[in-house]
Amino acid sequence: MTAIATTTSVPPVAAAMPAKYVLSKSEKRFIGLQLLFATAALSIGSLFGPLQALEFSGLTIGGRDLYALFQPLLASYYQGLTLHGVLNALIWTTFFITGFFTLTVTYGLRRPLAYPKLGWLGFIMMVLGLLTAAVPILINEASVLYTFYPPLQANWAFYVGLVFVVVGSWVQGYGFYITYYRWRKEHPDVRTPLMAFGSLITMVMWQIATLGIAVEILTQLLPWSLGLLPGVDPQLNRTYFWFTGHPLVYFWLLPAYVSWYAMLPKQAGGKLFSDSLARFSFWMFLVLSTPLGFHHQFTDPGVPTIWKTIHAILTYAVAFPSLLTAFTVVASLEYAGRQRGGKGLLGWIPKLPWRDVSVTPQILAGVLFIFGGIGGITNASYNINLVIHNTTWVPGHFHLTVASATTLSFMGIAYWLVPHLTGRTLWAPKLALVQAWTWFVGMAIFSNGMHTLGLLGAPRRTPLGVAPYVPANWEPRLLQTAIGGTILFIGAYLFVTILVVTVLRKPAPANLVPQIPEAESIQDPQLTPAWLDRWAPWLTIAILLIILVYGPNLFYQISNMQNTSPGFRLW
Amino acid sequence: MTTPPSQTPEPSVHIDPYERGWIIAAIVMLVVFALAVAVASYSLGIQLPSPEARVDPNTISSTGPFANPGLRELAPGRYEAYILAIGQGWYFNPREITVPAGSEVTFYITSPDVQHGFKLEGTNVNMMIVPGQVSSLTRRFDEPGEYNWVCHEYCGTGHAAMYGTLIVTP
Amino acid sequence: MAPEQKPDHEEEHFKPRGTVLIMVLFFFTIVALWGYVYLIMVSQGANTP
Ligand code: HEM
Ligand SMILES: [Cu+2]
Repeated sequence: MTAIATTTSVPPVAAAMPAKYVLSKSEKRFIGLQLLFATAALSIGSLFGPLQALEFSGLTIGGRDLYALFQPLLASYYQGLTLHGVLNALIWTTFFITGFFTLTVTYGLRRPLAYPKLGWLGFIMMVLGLLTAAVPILINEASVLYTFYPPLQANWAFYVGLVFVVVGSWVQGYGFYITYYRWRKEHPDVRTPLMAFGSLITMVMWQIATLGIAVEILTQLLPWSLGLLPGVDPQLNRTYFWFTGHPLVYFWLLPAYVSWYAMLPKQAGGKLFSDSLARFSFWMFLVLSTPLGFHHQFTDPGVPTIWKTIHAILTYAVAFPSLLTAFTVVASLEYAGRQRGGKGLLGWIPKLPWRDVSVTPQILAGVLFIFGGIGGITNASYNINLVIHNTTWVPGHFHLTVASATTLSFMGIAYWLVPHLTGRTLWAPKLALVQAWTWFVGMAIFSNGMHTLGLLGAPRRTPLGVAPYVPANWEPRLLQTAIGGTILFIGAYLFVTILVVTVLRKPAPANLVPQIPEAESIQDPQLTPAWLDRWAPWLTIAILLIILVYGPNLFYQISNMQNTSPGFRLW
Repeated sequence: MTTPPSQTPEPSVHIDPYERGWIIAAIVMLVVFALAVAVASYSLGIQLPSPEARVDPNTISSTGPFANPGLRELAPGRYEAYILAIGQGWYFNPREITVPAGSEVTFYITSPDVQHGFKLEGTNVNMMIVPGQVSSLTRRFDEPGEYNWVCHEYCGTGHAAMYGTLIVTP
Repeated sequence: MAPEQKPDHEEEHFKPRGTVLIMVLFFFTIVALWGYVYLIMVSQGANTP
């Protein structure tokens, strides 16, 4: 295998990097364990998805509401929805990402983590956090949904658990930075290998962004839930939350971009179309992910419209790197399809390796993301937000992003990664293809139903099957959503089954086990200018921009804080 | 790519001409969208809520205008509607408002307990209701009919029951 | 397997024409869907704070 092809135009520095790196047994175990937690979370969180969707259709069994059947195991729709949001959107994603990034950083840089124990420490904190938060959720003391807006007040353990999950992910991040720093000292002139580059930027972005909920929990919610603070300021907490809440979606998305840019072209049989623009996109995400959280607060009473306007404009700006990604990724696929003999304008598409269990899910994830992206631009469009804010359009939208672009890509990644880590071959690869298409079709039906319902005015976070105001023209769409949701559920469980059976198989001969795919780029990365591989300027801009567009209003809200809201448990 | 062949070409940002075209198209599209949104906001008057007033959720039900929520006529065809979104029991107070067609109504809404939402069917009246803040929007009603408003933020187990009706009489 | 002969030459002459077509379709889909919701907003009428 010619992993790093050294053509004549490559400056000699690139040769200093070894062509490959073999993960040690303990590294594989560490990554695999994180994926195990992630998949376990998904398998439990997904149980509630179809329940919610079927509830929409007003399904009753023996004259009883669907949720009545699950009592006392599940106290209400909202205990289920809290589990669904927390386990799927927060736990499945975060554990998968820290595991995957351990691989992209070590393999990308061709060296082990500088301090593997730091990684373990972070991971153990995350697990402890998960368990701590799980207890109050499971005993119905934290049915506050994954956005935990006060004055609904959860048991303090819920907040402590979340802090541990987040801080644990930071600690794993510190391990990546030290590893990178050591590598950089030894290779001052080498362009950071793209998979490590994208992962490091994502991690740094995450650490800046999560300061919002860290401050929210530590200065308001935790002391308040412990009885040390009589009240909180709900508007201020919304602002803190969305400081983290929007970049959170890029934390989910960018790992998929890492795979689409740095791995998928190789898997499809081609090369990355543009190394410089790939890097430029990642920097734009570092700079622009955070300073636009007010676009989630367009309808908030306590935020002046001037700040809403500024954040709306910046949101348009952050749409740009995703539009760039669309071109680069599609062009990389076109290059691959032509290498495989595709002719004509679109003849390369059927030549893509559609039978590859890892490629197909990622392409389908990208297709769904097109519509997720369009919905995102719509949401961000200032007053257009009034049409859809907090309607079912919104969950319709983010099931195309986090539950498709991210989740379906992660499924595709898992299909090579889990066999690679465990030394097995994937069980039933044809079924895995069916699984990806099932998710795709189910999601198309489900999310179309949710979007349309939203345009008709149906509120989100509402068991519409029991709502007294549902007009007749919602009914067909509620049914459509239920059907799509059921198909999705089948997709989720096929995925879990395939992974479980794979892990339980006998070890396979090494030559049959998938290797880590690392895409080359058409232009040698050494020809990418150095300013696209330097942290200082970009980090400075990112922090300055946050101070500029969050500073004044945040300062105003904090200095006018009114901690007047006591806690409520209305569930 | 225009770099002359040499042993060590200078690093430069390599942008394919087609991709450059896409970059320009994407930027133009976003700018046009932004302008269209600005037109809708300034010329068509489709605007967002902005800070109205701050209140103490603990005393709001007993003092000030929200102690007697409901409709007030300011002038012929000009109304204020004070509405409380209440999580303890999951209802709006009042649940129903009646105005004649052609009226302009300013909604003032707040909550004595948890967060709620307010979305009026078929309109762009869509607001978060946050304890401690008054949410407000104004709108004219010309078409007679019954319009439901719904609570669209989770406010406890009875959230799905929370709605109200605006009746516009001919 | 990397192609043997003159890979550089081939790569430099790769023109992503199919990608352009897809992006054009993408462009019009964005405009259409976004425009659809924009028009719904306009039809729902004015609001003032
Ligand atoms: C198994 C297939 C799935 C189905 C059928 C499903 C269905 C649903 C439905 C119907 C809702 C709306 C509930 C409401 O607003 O009242 C919802 C909410 C949500 N879903 Fe899913 N979902 C699935 C998978 C996922 C996945 C994989 C993720 C994330 C990775 C996810 C993340 C979320 C989030 C964050 C919410 C919002 C919860 C909230 O409003 O607090 N879902 N889901
Ligand atoms: Cu409510």
